[in-house]
Amino acid sequence: MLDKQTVFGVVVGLVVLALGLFSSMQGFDGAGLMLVSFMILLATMMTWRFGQAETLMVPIRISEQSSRQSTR
Amino acid sequence: MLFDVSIAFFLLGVIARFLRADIQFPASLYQSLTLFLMIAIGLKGGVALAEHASLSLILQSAAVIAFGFILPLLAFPILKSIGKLGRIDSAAIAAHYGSVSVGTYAVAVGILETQNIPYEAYIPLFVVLLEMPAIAMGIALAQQGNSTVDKRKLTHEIFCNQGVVVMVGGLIIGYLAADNLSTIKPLFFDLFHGVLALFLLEMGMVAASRFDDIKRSGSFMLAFGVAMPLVGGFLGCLLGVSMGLSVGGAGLLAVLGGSASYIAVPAAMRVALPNANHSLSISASLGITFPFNVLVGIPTYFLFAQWLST
Repeated sequence: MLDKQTVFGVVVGLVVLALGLFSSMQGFDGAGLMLVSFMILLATMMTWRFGQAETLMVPIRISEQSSRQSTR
Repeated sequence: MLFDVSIAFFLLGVIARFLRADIQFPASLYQSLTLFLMIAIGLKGGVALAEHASLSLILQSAAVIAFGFILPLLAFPILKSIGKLGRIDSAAIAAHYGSVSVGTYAVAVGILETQNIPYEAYIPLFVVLLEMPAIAMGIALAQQGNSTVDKRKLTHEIFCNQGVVVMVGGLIIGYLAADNLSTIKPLFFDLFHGVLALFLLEMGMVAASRFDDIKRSGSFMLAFGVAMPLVGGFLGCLLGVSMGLSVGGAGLLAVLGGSASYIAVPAAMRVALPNANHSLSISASLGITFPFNVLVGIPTYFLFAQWLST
């Protein structure tokens, strides 16, 4: 499930990308906008993935602790 | 291509920082460059005011002040509900994005002058007017009537901060002595681009030094630091075109709408909202929005102005 911040990042990234593409089609330099959009999308995706990984880490940590306790 | 030589100095500053080159500006020189740019912009605006003062300018000024109140109202709910920031932090950042960056404005003026694009030279009046409403609105959003701030100190920060005093002073001197500025013209007018290049070299290093803070603040601030200038820039451009400004003038108003303060507002917010996370505000303003505007935003705003004017 995507949270609000991820949705916001994706929407902003796509809008900036569209603006960059539109600028290029109009004959202006849209490369900077496209680069910025890729940076936003990449940062948003990485934050989202790390956030998911963190939530998955919690039960692993608990299970590690419980296994250590059981071996004692 | 809208690429000014002074922007190359900004990139040099960024590269120098990443290469860990030991370039050190004395703190007082950076302060002096900032004051120089403010005085130069104020003087130019004053000269233009002497030539163009009219009733319509008063109406335009009222519209610009209203614009200054609206921008923080747009930023605040995004920061609070999507960014999940606290009320005080959201209000402080909203105030930064509602106000203006004189440095960004100076870069935009430099680009217009290099490209020989005409613009209404009285726009510095709008720079001064846009400094203040956002601070008041930011405080109102943070406090919501439960004000415990030292109002006297705060009023002093809003109306007597160095930016307002120096720029208003420059405007008045330029207005009163419009025909008699030849003695100071070589310093304040002819050296403008050279000083701007030095200022941007330092700003490039300052912006790059904020890189670690930005990584820590997460992807939301990156997206916000790009989205808010584009929204503010588009609205500023729309306002400029509806006020009948030229493409250059509407582009400059867009630059004002899209820029975020890093001089006047931080000082005022430290007094008004001492519990806010000031590092977050200044990192977003200096580390994300200033470089974005200098490298990508300003040409985009002039593009908006061209689209909306035709």
